[in-house]
Amino acid sequence: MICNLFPEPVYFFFSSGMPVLLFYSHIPAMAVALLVGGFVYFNNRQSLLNRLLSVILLFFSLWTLSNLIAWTVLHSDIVLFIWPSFGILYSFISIFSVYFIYVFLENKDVSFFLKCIFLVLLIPVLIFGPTNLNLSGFNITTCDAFEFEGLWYKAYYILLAVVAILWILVLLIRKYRVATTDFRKQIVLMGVGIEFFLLSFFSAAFLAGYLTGIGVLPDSSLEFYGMFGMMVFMIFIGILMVRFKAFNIGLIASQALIVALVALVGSQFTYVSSITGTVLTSVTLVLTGAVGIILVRSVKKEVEQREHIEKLAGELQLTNERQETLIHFIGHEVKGFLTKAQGAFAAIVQGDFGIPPDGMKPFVESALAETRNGVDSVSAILKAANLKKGTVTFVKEPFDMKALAAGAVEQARGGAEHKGLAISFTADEGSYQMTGDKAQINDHILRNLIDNSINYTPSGSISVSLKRQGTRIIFAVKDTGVGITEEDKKRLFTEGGHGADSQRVNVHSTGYGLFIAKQITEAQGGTIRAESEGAGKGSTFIVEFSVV
Amino acid sequence: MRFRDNILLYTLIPLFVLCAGYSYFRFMVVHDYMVAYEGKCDPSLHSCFAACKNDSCVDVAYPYTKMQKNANNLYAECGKDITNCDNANICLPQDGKKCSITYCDPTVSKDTCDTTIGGSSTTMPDIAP
Repeated sequence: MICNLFPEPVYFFFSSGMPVLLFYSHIPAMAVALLVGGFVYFNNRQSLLNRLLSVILLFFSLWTLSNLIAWTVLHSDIVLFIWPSFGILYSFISIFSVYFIYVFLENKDVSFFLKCIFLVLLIPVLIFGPTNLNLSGFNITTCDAFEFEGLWYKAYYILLAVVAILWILVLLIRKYRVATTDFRKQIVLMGVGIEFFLLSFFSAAFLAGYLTGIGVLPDSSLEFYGMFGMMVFMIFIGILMVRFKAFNIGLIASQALIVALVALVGSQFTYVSSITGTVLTSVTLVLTGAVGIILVRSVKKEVEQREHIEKLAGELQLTNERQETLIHFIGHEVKGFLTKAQGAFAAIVQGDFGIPPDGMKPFVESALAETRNGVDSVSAILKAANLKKGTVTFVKEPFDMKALAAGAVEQARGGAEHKGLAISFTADEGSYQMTGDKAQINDHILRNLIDNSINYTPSGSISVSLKRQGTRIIFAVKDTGVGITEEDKKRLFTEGGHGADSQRVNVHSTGYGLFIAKQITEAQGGTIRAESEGAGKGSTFIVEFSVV
Repeated sequence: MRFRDNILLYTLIPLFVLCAGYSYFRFMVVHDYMVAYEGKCDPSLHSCFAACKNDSCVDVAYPYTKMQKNANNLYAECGKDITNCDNANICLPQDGKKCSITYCDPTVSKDTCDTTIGGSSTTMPDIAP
């Protein structure tokens, strides 16, 4: 039968007698849903999450198309043929949204049992959809079937929607409580997006249907406003894609956004009637398209650069790991050779093979000293590699820092005096008891800093001091040496970080000493810093430990 | 693809096709549904509903009855358009129980009635001789 009071639509669903918001709400929402759904599906067909999102968007698009036909077509047979699909698609969107959220949160398919529950919930709407329980007639005066809808059937799929919204909310909250910070952000975005979509879509549609059915509203145009919930959902999906790489898609969001904008602007043609309005809409459409193309190109370039940087970072990490392995292999091998040579030279110097000839002794002593330097250098490199890798273990024991510092100064005194440098040690009154790895603090911090000062002080003096300030123990080594430039300060405590002229002053500098001192100081809960007024003005290295 | 993994796909798609098929058969082929519409009404004979031109309903556009008929019978009696079909305004014997005419009754309805006979109403179908 034909609704004889309404005009026949053009091209199946365009009709001048319809509310203008009909096309403005339906066509862009359907276009964006189909577009995003298609992109998501074809970019990664193997992903269940992508397939589920595409299915939900397809159901939504089918509902929108059916709704558009129901609004505009005059033939009762056609309208009634598609009318049962509303309840069916509402139910499918509800249950598949729950399924989608399960897979999103758990990153795996749901159990067979849960699928059976989904099935049990959906089968009734399919079986009773085209029966009198859902639909028994059509009103050709108002051109709708609201007054002939079955109460129980309608109540069932409304209940399904309510259950789905609450079910999703519970799932999101439960997962949020145990999720990582990064995933929590994704849960919030996805949760707000899908809940807003379902709430706006269902509440607007059900309210419109109910109020029209009881005659409060002349038509169900209130449901148009629910369609905009889909646009909001797509925006959140877009953010998830770009920000968190959800759905393994790079450029889709920006492209989809531009297409959505073009669709929105383009859909204004459906109700613009004046020439001025048509011209303005055309200009806006062209500008939106042009800006969109520039934006997509820009984002594309940025994404490509980011992917390139991420690829390089990955390769760099791999190279670092290989380098570490190589350093350990070479270091241990070289250290083994040097240790053997050191033992041999020491045995010769000590006369284990008889008294060496006079001409040979200085040569062997020099070789022994050089070999010891070699062992120290390789040990420093290995130590730095281990610290970086986090494989160094520390002992925690109580000790007297004052005694340790005094001992370190005494050990270094010979070397300093041999170089003609005056070395002194002063300690304020007070307790210097602390807990830490005594051996490592002595070897890699105290001795390292004192030896460093000796190495970089051609003439003058070295003052080692110890102070107690509240809960802090402050160890300082002050020298009258080469000083540190502002430029050198930046790389002073870095791995292999030499000063610009450091190797000219100390040829044996590995660049790892201060890096090791910093790593060990920080591992013991302390801080280390260097002060200098510049090149040739001496320097002071200060280490602070907390004793609480 | 295992059946257990794709139970939703294997079950819902055939059911959906069957549902769409039955819907097509019921509504498009056998027209098994009721059609509601406004039938012609003579205020001098019956209490009619009044289609008002404005909210105050001072001017009545036209009087009408609320008709319901089975779509299949209506197709047979009038074709797809009831605009100029007199059979659409009465219940015929072949319509049987699948036809009803509702007249305006101000005591049971909030609708505005248009009548010159004193406001009697009936929901019983008028059966043509």
